[in-house]
Amino acid sequence: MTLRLRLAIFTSAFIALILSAVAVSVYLMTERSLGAAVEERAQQALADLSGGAIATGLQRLPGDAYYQIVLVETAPARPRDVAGIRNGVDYTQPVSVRANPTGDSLLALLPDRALEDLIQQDELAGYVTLANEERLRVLGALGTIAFPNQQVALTAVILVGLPTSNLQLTLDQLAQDLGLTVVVAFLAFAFGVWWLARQVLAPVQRVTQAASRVSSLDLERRVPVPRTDDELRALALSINHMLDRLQESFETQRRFTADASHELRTPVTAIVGHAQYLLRRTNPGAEQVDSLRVIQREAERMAKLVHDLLELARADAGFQVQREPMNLVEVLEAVRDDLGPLAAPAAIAVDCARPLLEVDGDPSRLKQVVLNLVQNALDAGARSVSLHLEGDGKEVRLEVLDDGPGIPTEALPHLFDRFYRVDGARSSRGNGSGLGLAIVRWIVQQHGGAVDVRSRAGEGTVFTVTLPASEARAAT
Amino acid sequence: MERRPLILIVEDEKEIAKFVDLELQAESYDTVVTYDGVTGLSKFRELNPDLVVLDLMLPVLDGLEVARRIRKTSNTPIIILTAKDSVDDKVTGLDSGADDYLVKPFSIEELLARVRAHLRRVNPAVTGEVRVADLVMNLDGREVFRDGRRIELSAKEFELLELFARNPGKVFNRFEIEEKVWPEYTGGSNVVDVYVGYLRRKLEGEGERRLIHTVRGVGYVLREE
Repeated sequence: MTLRLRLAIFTSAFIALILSAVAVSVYLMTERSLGAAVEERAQQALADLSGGAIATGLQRLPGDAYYQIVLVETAPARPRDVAGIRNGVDYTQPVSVRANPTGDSLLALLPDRALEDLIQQDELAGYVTLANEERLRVLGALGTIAFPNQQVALTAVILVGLPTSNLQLTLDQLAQDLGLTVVVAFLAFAFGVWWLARQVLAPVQRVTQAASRVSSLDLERRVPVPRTDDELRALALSINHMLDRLQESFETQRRFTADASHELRTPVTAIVGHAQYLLRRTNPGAEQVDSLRVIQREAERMAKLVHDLLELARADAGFQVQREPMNLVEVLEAVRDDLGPLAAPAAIAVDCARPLLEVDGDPSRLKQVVLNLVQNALDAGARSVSLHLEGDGKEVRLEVLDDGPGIPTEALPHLFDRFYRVDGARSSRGNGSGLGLAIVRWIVQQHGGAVDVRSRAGEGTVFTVTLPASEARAAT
Repeated sequence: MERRPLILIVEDEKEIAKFVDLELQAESYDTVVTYDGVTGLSKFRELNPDLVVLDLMLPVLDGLEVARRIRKTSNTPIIILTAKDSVDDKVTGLDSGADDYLVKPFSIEELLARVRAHLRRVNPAVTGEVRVADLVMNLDGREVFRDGRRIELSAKEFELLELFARNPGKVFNRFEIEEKVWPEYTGGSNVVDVYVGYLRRKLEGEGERRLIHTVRGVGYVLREE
């Protein structure tokens, strides 16, 4: 998961949590205060009805209130059971200033438990739902209703109901509004964070891209340093500083290899030259000839090593080979003709159906590739090496097959490493430096190709080199 | 008796100068050895040698400068020896007026062959050589020069050019050429056209006039126009 995504998700989740908490508490607080208002009005109405003159109480009753007054017994007697209350004389109708619209009896709708509260505590509180689905908050008390004109006060159950449906409607609306607000705010915030994260991370992205373009071949590049004086600037500066150091050490290493190789060439040339002179122009004795040949052979081996090291130093320095259209078939024939006489009795065969397979390449370096592969096969003890070449319009495939002892599977992954030797560093077989295949791989890669190896112990080895076909004549 | 060719060796590495000197003497050349650029240049002016073997990294006056100064007044062949072998170095070397370029470690046979080839070019020899216009083919050494410039050809390129050069003015059709130069393959490819292209690129690389001409509908011919 990208940092940007994580940032957006986490901050959005956090903000969603906070928004939800705020919304819920707003809802609960509103519910409570609305409920308290209803409760207060109901209390007031109940007090009005049961406190003083009934007529005044009824006049002060809120417009949306329901009420019921049931005379239960003349004072001071008291009904002792719920049924007694239920069967009292309903006094509501005769004095009603406002009929219950549905004609429902609040007393009938109240549960027995509420009435028992009334009996025990002289008051009750509860909810009832009318036939028209209207929900009421009902408060009731066992009180006295007074008729000042008649000079009478009677014991009665007084019930007052106030509708809570409006309250519920308001709350539902509030919940809906809050929910919508939360969702919209959340989306806006998430989008904002996503955008902000992009703005903030864009310089990081640029630094990353620039850094990834810097490779061992291209240490010249530097990461762009933002002008802002912030953490990203510090990051870019320290990456660049690191690259400076890296480039410096690469350069030192490369120059050392190149200089060392150049310096080694001169003495090697002198050694080979003098050994050859003695062998060719003087008449050394048989033992001296042997000795001179050793000097010559070893000096030539050293010359090859110097050449290989220099070639790899070039590779490390990012040297690019010069490419021109050329015929790969001729390269194979040249290798066969060069190595054939030396390899006898081992046989080198070129197998290609066509006289021409063109690639864009450096002829001498591609010859080096084939030479190294064939020489390796011969050094390993192959009796026959077959060079198989084929190509279509897109790529050219060269296979170097040998019937040598094969390469152990565990050695295959290291085969193209520098100074790697299949049979250990102390091997005396062949005079390879252990650099041949590293050079092969470098050259092939420089040509936009790939080299691969398959081998089976006891049966032989196949090196496969694929190169892109020449662009100039890809159509033919 | 004909005068023996005089070769001037300018090489600061005494051990290398020593065996080059010995080998050249063994090949019956007269030699003079100097170890720095200034002495080399003054010896050149004093003795007017037939050929110069010149190291590039020399004290006092470097090899490129020596070659440039020699070339101002003389056409004497110059063979450069050097431990540098990048393409740029080669181009610089040849641009400075040198005729040939050998990278250390070189094989002495190679140097002797080049010396022979360049001397022959200056003093036209009798055998093993084909000349058409400013093109010189040394068939024994398998070397090709155009206007003194040594041109490296692959084996097939050389065979093809030899076919043309031995029969200047003769028009060859593609089939004939394929049969002679690529006998091991049956026809049907465009190998001849491609190789004529290679040869033209190498022979005319420095803006020289065209030597191998296309005869429309027939084939190719080498002639001077």
